[in-house]
Amino acid sequence: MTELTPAKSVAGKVVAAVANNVYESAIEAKKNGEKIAWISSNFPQEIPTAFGLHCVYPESQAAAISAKGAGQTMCEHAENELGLSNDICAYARISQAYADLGKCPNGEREMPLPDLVLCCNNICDCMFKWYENLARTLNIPIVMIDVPFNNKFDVDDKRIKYIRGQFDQAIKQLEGILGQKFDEKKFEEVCKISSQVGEEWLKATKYLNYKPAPYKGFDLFNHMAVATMARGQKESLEAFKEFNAECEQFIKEHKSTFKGDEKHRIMFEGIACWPYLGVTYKTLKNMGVNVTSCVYGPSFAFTYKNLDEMAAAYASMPNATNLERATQLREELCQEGKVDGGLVHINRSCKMWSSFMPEMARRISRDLDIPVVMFDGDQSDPRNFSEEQYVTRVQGLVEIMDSNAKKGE
Amino acid sequence: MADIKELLEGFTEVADHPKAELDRHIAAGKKVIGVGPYYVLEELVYAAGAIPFGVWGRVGTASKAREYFPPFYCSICQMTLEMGLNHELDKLSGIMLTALCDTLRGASQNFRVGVTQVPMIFVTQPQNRATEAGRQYAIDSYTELKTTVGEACDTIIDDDKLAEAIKLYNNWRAAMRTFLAEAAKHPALVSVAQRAAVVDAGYYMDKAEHLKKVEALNELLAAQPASTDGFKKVVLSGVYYDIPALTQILDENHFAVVADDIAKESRALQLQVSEEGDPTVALAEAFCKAGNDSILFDENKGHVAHVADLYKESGADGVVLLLAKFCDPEEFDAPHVAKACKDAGAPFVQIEIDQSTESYEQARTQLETFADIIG
Ligand code: SF4
Ligand code: SF4
Repeated sequence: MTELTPAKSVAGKVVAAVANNVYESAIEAKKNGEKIAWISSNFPQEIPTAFGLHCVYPESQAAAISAKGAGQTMCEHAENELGLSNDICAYARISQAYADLGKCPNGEREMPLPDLVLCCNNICDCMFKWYENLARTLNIPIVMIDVPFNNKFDVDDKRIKYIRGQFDQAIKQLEGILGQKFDEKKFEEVCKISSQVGEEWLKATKYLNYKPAPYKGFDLFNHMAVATMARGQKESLEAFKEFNAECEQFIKEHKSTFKGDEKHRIMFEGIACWPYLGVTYKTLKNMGVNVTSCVYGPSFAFTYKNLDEMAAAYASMPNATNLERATQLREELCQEGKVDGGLVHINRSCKMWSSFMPEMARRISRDLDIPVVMFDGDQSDPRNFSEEQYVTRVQGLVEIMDSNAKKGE
Repeated sequence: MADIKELLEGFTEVADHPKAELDRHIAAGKKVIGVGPYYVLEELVYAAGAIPFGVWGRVGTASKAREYFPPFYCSICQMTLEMGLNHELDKLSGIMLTALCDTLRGASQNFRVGVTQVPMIFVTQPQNRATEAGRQYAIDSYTELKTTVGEACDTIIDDDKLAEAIKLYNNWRAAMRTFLAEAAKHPALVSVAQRAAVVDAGYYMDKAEHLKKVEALNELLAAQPASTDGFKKVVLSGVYYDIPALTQILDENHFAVVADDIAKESRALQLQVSEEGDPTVALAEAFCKAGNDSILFDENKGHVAHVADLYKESGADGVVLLLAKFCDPEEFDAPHVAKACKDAGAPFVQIEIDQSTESYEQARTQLETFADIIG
């Protein structure tokens, strides 16, 4: 194996700055009396961006809040003060708590309160219940785009027609709310940038396919904030280009932000456990395991030229597609990432994602003949994660990968 | 003519032994199609000459289903899958499952690949139902389903038959609404358990047969003087309550259900399908008009105000929210329902229920206390 030199990513900081800027400029805009939308991560943001509407993303905010240690406090506020069950998605709990409080306990990740909410259920139905609640408690309008779950492999015409029709409806609604006409030209521009950002993002994720990889897969968990929040912005394009150039440099120079020997490469499936990002990463790193496959690449890389193609792209979101397609997507990523095993997060928060995960894990393991282990956790509520169980499961996975590697020698 | 008691015993017999009812349909040479929650267009099945048979899980604990679902999923979906994996549903020629919540989305996939002996018929419905795009999606989806259900029943569903089925179902839903109103006026004659049994029997029996019996029961009840004396009048809200341990507690504490916002009951029975024009379009439009339900997207959250309105209109003494464990749609609405009830001055209690709960002692204590408060 090639000796790797540990490296620090400079471009990563540029990407992080873009994410930060989304919040900062929204805070500024609010101060200037401009309207703010809270928007779900896979809402076709090209539409509000074309209106020049400032959008902030409650999912990303909740992730940041929990990564900085305030997940539990916010969840408890939602449960004790707002009466929400602790069974519902922790992002939804944190976000509703934030809507109620208007601030974080220690300024973990502030963002302005919304004047409207934009919701798309292509990743889960939890989303529209959550946004219904936001709209009700804050007494603001909601724009909803419904993407019905697809039991078939391919997206059919009736879905595209339906989603396309809802785009028109959403545009009309926004024209009414914002008192402004939809600018087709601007929209085309935004679509162009979004597609380019999508391509650069996808390219960034593909550098993990190099063996050894030029960066640690966990870096993607941070960088995806930009792919989520700033898909339609030129700054994101520049930042990802810089990141990609750095990756190529690292590959040429045998450098990586993954410290240590990349003994094993795995798929990490599911959302990161934000409150335990350090522990979950270090456990893997200490055993020489890098994550080189995760679904976040294709999840935020949309390419299209018009509203019809955009409808088809948004209808194909990983969480809106059937078991076979969801599995195939992971298997392709596993093959590209040249993984020896899989680690699956059974996320207590995410009913949609976890609901057929055991079967998907079995299929991936069987089809690719690799060990796949599951652990119980939560993306944001620290009460639902056991470090002990996590470490044991990872150890178990590594043992099998070690023994497989020996057999293969 | 049978009296009230006999009729109710008949319904209870069916509700308690769905398997026997299923066997009867099969023995009569009928095809049977399972129907899960929510708003499944049973009329198609009926028009295909088959019997729609309700499958909303059952009381029990999941074990084989745990291979597919992690533990934090509602019991309706876990137990429906469990029934499939245990071969309890093998006599069905198919099962229609919707995907209106995250758990149902996953359930459709788990069932399709785990229970291959019972073909899963996927029912896709729009959530943006107030728009033309939503209406059209429902029509397109239901048009496809007409073929799929026909195939499962080895027949071509023709519009005349479908129109007849719609008429029957409209009459049946109207009769059921009358029954619920009559039961509300006669708690001494119809217990909570019996109310649930009449509803459940409707999910298992041939609708024409059930309709006849319900009409007979309605007539007999209407002839009796209305009285809720000695009962605590409540509005029940939630997905279901047909759990013997629970209805027993409600009956022992002399609760009378004077109105309900139960998904398996009044929410489902709200549909009224036009008997004019294209029957498939009529079915789609009826779904698009449905409302006041946690599972349906509603920018105004009409469901919340609806529960408080039921309290005010029915003259109830309080509201009991039976919160299905791990049910996202209900859990998101619950605090808002609680607040709306409080604002309407309604005494309110929230009780967690689950088909797999082994002990209802906590619920008993809560309901006893609530009975004291409103009594
Ligand atoms: S974590 Fe899962 S349930 Fe929560 S918002 Fe994301 S997709 Fe939806
Ligand atoms: S609505 Fe609730 S009870 Fe019904 S299937 Fe979905 S999660 Fe389960």
